[in-house]
Amino acid sequence: MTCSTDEVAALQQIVGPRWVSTEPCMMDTYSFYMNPETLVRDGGRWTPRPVAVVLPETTEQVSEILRLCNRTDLMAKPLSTGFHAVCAASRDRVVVLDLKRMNKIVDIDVENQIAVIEPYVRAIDLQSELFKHGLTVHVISAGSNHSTLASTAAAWGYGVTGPSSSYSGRNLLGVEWVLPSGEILTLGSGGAGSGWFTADGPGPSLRGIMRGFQGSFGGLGVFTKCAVKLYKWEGPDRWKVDGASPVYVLDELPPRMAMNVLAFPTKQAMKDAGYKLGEAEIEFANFRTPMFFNALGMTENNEELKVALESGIFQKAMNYTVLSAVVARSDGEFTWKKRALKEILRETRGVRVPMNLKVTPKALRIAGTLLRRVKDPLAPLRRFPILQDLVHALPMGRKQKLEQDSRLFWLLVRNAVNTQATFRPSQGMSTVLGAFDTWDLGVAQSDWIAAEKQKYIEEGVLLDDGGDLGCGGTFENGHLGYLEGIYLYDSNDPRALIASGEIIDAGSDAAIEKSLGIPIAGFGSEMNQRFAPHCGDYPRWMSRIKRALDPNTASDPFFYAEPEAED
Amino acid sequence: MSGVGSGEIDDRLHSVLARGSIRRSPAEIAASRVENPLFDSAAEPSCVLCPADVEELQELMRLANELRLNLTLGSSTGRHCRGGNAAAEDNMRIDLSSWKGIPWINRRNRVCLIEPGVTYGELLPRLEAEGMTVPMPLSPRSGKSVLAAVMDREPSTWPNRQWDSGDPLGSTELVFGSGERFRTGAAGGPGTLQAQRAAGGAHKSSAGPSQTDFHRVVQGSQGTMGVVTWIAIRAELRPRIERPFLLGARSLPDLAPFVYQVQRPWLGEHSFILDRTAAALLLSAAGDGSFAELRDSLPAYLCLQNVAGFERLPEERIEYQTRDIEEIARKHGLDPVPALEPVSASKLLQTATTPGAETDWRHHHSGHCLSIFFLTTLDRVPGLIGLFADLARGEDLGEERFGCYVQPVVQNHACHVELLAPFDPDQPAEIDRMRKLERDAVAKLAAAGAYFSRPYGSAATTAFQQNRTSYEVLEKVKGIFDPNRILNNGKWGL
Repeated sequence: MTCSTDEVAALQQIVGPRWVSTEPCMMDTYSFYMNPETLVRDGGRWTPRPVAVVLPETTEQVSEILRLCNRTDLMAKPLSTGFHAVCAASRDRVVVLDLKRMNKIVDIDVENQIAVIEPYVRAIDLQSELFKHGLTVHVISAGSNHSTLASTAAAWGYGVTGPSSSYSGRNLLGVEWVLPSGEILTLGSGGAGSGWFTADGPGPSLRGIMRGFQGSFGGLGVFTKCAVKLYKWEGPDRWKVDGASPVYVLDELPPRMAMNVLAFPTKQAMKDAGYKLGEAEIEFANFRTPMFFNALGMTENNEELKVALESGIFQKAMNYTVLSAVVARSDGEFTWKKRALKEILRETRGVRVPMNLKVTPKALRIAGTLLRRVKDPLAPLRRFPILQDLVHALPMGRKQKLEQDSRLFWLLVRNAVNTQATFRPSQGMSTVLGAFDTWDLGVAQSDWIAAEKQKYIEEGVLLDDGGDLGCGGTFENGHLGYLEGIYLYDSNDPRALIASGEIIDAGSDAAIEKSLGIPIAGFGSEMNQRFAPHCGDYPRWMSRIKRALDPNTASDPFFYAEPEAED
Repeated sequence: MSGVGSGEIDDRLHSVLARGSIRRSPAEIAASRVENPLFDSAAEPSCVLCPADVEELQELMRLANELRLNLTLGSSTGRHCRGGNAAAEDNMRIDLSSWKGIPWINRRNRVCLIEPGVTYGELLPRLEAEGMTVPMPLSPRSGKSVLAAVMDREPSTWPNRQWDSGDPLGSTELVFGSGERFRTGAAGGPGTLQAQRAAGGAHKSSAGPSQTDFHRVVQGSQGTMGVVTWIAIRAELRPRIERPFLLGARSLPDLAPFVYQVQRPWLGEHSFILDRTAAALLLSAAGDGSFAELRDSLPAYLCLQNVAGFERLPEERIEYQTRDIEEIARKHGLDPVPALEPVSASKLLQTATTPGAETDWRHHHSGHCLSIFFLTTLDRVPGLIGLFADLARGEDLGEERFGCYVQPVVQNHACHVELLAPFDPDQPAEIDRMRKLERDAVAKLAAAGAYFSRPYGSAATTAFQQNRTSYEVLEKVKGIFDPNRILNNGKWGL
C-alpha cells in the first residue's frame, strides 16, 4: 500500500514538499533497525515499510499531521535518533515522523538545573553545552548520540551515571505532548505557564499515563519538547586529547577524578560492594562489566581478544568487575571518598586493578602461562590491600594508566560507547530480562541468562562469551539496581535471529516463573498480553487509555496497546 | 446516592463489612469532619466505614459501584484541616486509620512497607531499630498518616534525598474506583511479594508495571482515583552524628545563592528556610518559648542546614562537609552558627524531624492558620512572597501576622512555598478576612507564576483553569479508573 496522492499533498501542505518522501529506497532506510526480531518473527531483517516519511519542524506541524491521521486511516509513528526496531512502522498505512529537524536546545536554566529540549537534541550535544555551566545530564548506554527526549519521555534506557543522575523516566520535569487527537498538552508547571520544573499535577499526575517503566514508543502521540533534570558536574568543560578515533587519550585526567576497575573475588562480594558503594554516595558512575567485555575493552581487534581470552587471566581475575568513577567538588570530599572506597574494598576483598601495566598480546600469553596454576592472580592484592596503593603509585606505566583512565573517562563520563568494539566480535547483539528494582535482583537476572545461553553457545548459534554478560549498575546512590543479560550473535545468521527470539521468549517465561520482574523488552501489544495475567492485567488499562486518547488509532499502536474494543 | 439507613443499603453494607465495622455515632462522625472555617461547606459523612482488610475494601467498593455510593477516604486521625477529603456531595467515609501494619522492613535495600494508618511516630522507632529513618514533612501532627503524606506529595525537609517528585514512594497496592485491585512499580511484576523478595526484589522501583505508572495518577489525587492499601517507602540511613547550622539573613535573596550552591552538590542533609513568624509558630508549638519572644529575637529569615555522618567514616564526613559549607557561606557573607539565640540549630532540627502534637504547629498559636502553598523555583520565591506580603498588609495584617516556609524539593529543582497567616477561628471577621486574602492571593500568585501542584481550597479552581487541555484529559482518566464516580464525586468537578 502507498499514500494516496491527496494524502501526500496534505502532508506536503503541512510540512512543505521538500520534507515528505514516499520513495521506495527511502522507505527501506526506515525499515532496517537493530533487533527486528521484536517485530518480525520469521527471522527476517526488514520491518514493514512506512507509506511515507515526513520531517516536521514545529509542534504545530506535528499536531496537523496527527489531525490528518484522524481524518484518514493513516497512523503516525515518530522517531528521533532512531536505533531500535521500536522506531519502525509496525504495519501498513504508517507515516513515520522523523523529528531530526526539531533539534533545538530551547532553554538551559542553569540555576535550577533544568534543560528544555526538542526531540533531536543528542545527549552528547546537550552534555557539551551543560559542562560549560557545571552541569550534566543522564545519558543512556545506547550511546551519547541518542535523543535525550526519547529516553526521558518516550522510550527507556539506563546509563552508567545512574548513581549520580538517576535514569531516564525519573528525570522528566515537563513535556509538551501532541496527543493522538492532535491537541497539544503540556504537563505540569509548564502547562500552567509557571516554568518547566515539574511534570506533575495539578492534583493527579498525567505523567502516570504518558509513560511507565518503559515509554509509549510513539503509540500514544508525539512528544515535541521535554524538560529534563540536570545534575552537578564537577569536572572541566573541555580537555586536551591526543590520538584518533576510536582511541583518544586525555592530556591528563581532570583533578579530583578517579577511574577505577574494581575486581571482586566472588559474586556475593560484588553484590555487597554495590550496596556499600551506594550508601557511601561516592560514585559518579559505575558499570558492572563482565569478563568478556573487560577483555574486549582492553584489546584492539578480535585477534588480540582471542589471545586475551586464551590466556585465562580475565576468567580468573575479572569475572566480578565493576568500573567506577569517583568525582568530587573539593579536595576534602575527594580524600573522604577515596578513603571510603578503600574501606569498602577491604571489607569485600575487592581490588582496584592496577592500570599502569601494559596489556599486550605477548604479555598476556606470558602471564597466562606463568599463572596457569594460580587460581586468583589478584589474591596478594586482596590479602594485603596496601600493595594496591603501592602498585598504583609506581612511577612506571604512567602512559598506560592514562590510556586506561581515558578509556574509562569516555565510557563513564561521556558515554562514548565504542560501538565498533561492541559489535566487533559478532556484528549482532541483543538483551533479555533487565527489570528495574534492586542490585540483588539485577544479579539474579544476570545469572539466569548466563545459564540459558549455554545451549545456544554450545550449538554455535551464539558467540561464546563465557555466558555471563550481565551489564548494568546501581542507581540513585544504590537505592535501585539493574542488570541486563546481553548475548552476541551473527546478525546475518537466521538461526541466530530465531534463537534470539527464543531467548526473549524464555526470558519472559523465567520472569514469570521466577518473579524476576517485567523485562526491558516487556512492552508492546504482544509482550503486554503475555505478562497481563501475572501482573494485574495492566494492558487492559492501557487499552482503555488508548481508546480514550486515540479513538481513531492515529498513533501506531503496536509498541503500546491496541485500543479497547467498544462495549 | 441512596440514603444510608435505607434498609437495603444498610443490609448490604453490613454484609460486606462482616469483619469490619460501620460507625455512626455523632462523635465518630465528628472525628471525620473537615475542620476548616475557610471552607464554604463540606458535606459531612453519613457514616464511617472501616473495612477489616483489602478484600472487604474491594467488596465495599464494588458495592459502591453497584449502588452508586459516594466514598471519601481517611487514614490520618485528629483534626482534618486541609480538606483533601472534603466532599461536595453526601458521602460515606472509608477510614483506614486502624490499618497499622508495617509488614516488612529491609535494611539491605533500605525499604519498608506500611499500611495507611501508620503514623510517623509509629514508623520512626521501627526504622531506628534497623539504623534507618525516612524523609518526612516538617513536624507532622501526631495523627498524620505517613501514607497520606506521601500520596499527597507533601514535601520533606531532606531535599537532596528526593530524586523524583514522587519520592519516597516505591511500589504500591491500590484499589481503583472501579473496585479493581492493582499493584504498581516493581511489585506489579509477576509473582507474590514473597516470591519477588526471594528473587532479590524489594518493591523499591515505583515505575511500572511495563508502560504504566498509575501510582502517579493516584498520588496527588486526594482520594479521587483509588484507595491505596499499602506503600513501599524508600528509607535512608539514620545519621550517626549530626552538626546542624543556622544561617540568619535580613532577606531571602541573601540566602538563596547559598542554598543553590549547597544543594547542587548535595552537601549536607536536611535543609529549609523559615521566616521569623513561621519559625516562631513552629517552635512555640513545640513548647520552646512564646511566639512573641521567639519572633522578636530571630532574624527575618533563617535557614537550617544539617550536616551528618552515617555509618561510614561519620566524623570525617562531617568535617569535610562542614568545611565546604562554611566556605560557601562565607563567600556569600553568611555565618553558619550552631545557634541564633534563643534558638539552637539542634533544637530546630529535632523539632522539624519529630512528629508534633495532635494539633498541627501552624494552628497552635491562634487556633487556625491560613496556609497557601505552591511550587516554584527558588529564584522566583522572593517576588511571590513579596506579592503575598503586600496583599496581607492590604488586609491590615501586621508583619507578625503572616509568615513563610520555603522548602527546596527534588534536589532543589523546585521549591515548596507555604504562606501562613494564623488567625482565630472563633472570630467571624477574621474568617471573612482570611477568605478574602486566600482568594486574592491565590489568583494573583497564580498569575505571577505560582504553580498549585497540590490544589487545596480556592487554589483548586485556579489550578485546573490554568490548563484546560490537562483538565480534559484528567476527566477522561477519571472515567477510566473511577467510571461510576464513587470516589468523592464532584470533587474538582470531575
